[in-house]
Amino acid sequence: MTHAIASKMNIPFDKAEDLKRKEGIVVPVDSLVPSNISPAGKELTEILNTVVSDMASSIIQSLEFYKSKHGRDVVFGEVILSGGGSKLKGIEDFLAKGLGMQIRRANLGQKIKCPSNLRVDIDFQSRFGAAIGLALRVLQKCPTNIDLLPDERKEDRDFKKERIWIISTGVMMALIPFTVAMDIWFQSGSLRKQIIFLDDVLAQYDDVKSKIVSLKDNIKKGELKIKPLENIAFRRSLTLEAFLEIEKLLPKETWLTSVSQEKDWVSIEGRTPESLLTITEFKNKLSASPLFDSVEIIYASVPKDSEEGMWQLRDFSIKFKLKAQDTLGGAADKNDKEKK
Amino acid sequence: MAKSIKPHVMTKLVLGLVFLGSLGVAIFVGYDRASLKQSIQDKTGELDNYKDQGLAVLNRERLKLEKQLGSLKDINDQMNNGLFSKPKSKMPKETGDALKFKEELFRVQNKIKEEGLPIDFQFPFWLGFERYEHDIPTSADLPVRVKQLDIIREAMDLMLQAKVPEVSSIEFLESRSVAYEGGKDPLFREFPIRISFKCKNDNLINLLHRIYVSEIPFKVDMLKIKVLNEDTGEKGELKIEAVIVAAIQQADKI
Repeated sequence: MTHAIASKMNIPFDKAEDLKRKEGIVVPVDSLVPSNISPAGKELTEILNTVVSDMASSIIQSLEFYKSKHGRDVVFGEVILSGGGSKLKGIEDFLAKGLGMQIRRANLGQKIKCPSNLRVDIDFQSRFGAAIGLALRVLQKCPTNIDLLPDERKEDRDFKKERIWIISTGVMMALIPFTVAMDIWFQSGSLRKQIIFLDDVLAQYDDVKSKIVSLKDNIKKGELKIKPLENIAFRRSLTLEAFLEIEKLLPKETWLTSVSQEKDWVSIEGRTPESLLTITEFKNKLSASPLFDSVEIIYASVPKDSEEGMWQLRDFSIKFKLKAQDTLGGAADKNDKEKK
Repeated sequence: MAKSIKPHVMTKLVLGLVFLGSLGVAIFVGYDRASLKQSIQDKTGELDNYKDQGLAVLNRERLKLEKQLGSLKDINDQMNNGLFSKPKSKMPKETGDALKFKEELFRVQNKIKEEGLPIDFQFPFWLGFERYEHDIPTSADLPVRVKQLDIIREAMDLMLQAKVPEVSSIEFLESRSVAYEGGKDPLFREFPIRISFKCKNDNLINLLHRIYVSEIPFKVDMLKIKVLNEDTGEKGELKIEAVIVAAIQQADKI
């Protein structure tokens, strides 16, 4: 068509193409040319009418040829328009009248998957109709979905189809650790009860233990508090008892010239007409006494004449320790226990 | 921003977050369970320490100790009562004033002098309070001086009862508080007195006996006896120097 326009109107090809697209129209023979068409438009319509009439004649010839080849009974019901030229204004009416058949355009959206905007895009429908038709003819033997959607849209579409399955499976998967956790949590309940029981038992032990510690502490304090009192009570009679004990154990004809007690230590000096053996026996008696400890003779002199000259007297000195309160107290406690 | 995220990406994100949260809960619960088990192990270990004792054994020990403490308290009360039950063995609550002290000192001096007449009792008239012949004790000293006067009056009474004929000197030594070992609260106060006197053996034994049963708890810290007639030893007169210590408790104590 464009070639015919360019040559007859003597204009360049691209201008002829532009003119065809903008103002190209075909009008059937028995119809009137629209009044608003310019003189150039009228000329263009005449050129196009000629070209399309030729095309209709060729189609009729081809159909007649097909009938002669494949049988006279073949009836052609409709013509499907495709290709860029099918967009020419008025071509459907022109061909319908010229061919005496129903004319319609190809609907590629029924055969292939494509975005919804392409389904109504006439440009797309007319341009790719032949290519897609050829492709589909081959693919009918080996069916394959022709999917013209971009990858992102495909993901959306696939997700929408399977979202219930995906979400439910995902939730199930995601909740597996939670379910395990809940199971562990309920199992831990028995451990918690065990801990509460152990705490209770330990608290009882700790309570008794702390009471025992506190009692021991109080007993220790009590004993320490009693000690000074015991000391006073013990020492009140100690000097008297020691004094009486010394007098009791003192050998006959022997007397003391001095007694000195400083705290627990006692030192006695005496005079006797008796022998050293008597002094030693006295020392031994003191050692055997429950009141005295660490008894030792400090000195025993050779006999000397007394002032009256009647006696041969021997001076002696003995030192000893008063037995500790604890020793005597301990012995007393032991006796008490034995009595009990 | 949320609009720019595709639904399937958003769903994956949400599911991922749910999974992570769920995993977090599982980890937390797992950790909690592990720590519970560890805690049980620790507590069981603690209980093992008591396996040889048992609660019953410990309770028996506790009861025994309570009894022991009760006995100690009884002993403590008995000792306190035995030693410090008499008013003389306590520090007076009210000490009066310094003039009253001097009046009391004169009264005691005269009383001792009067009571000592039958045995011609010789004693230092100021009873160790020479410094107060022309002076009066300060208010800080007063409580101690009042008690010292009480103590020396008791000591002189004991001397008189033991028929000690002569006391040659009396000296009050520094008093001191006695607390139990490691304790701060004083149990009682010790008032030591150095006394020199002369007497015979019988008087000394009598005196020591009276010291033992005195209302004020006395003890003898130091005693030096010298026989004046060393050659005979019989019926000899003794020269004695002693430090006797009176234990006095605060009035508010038991």
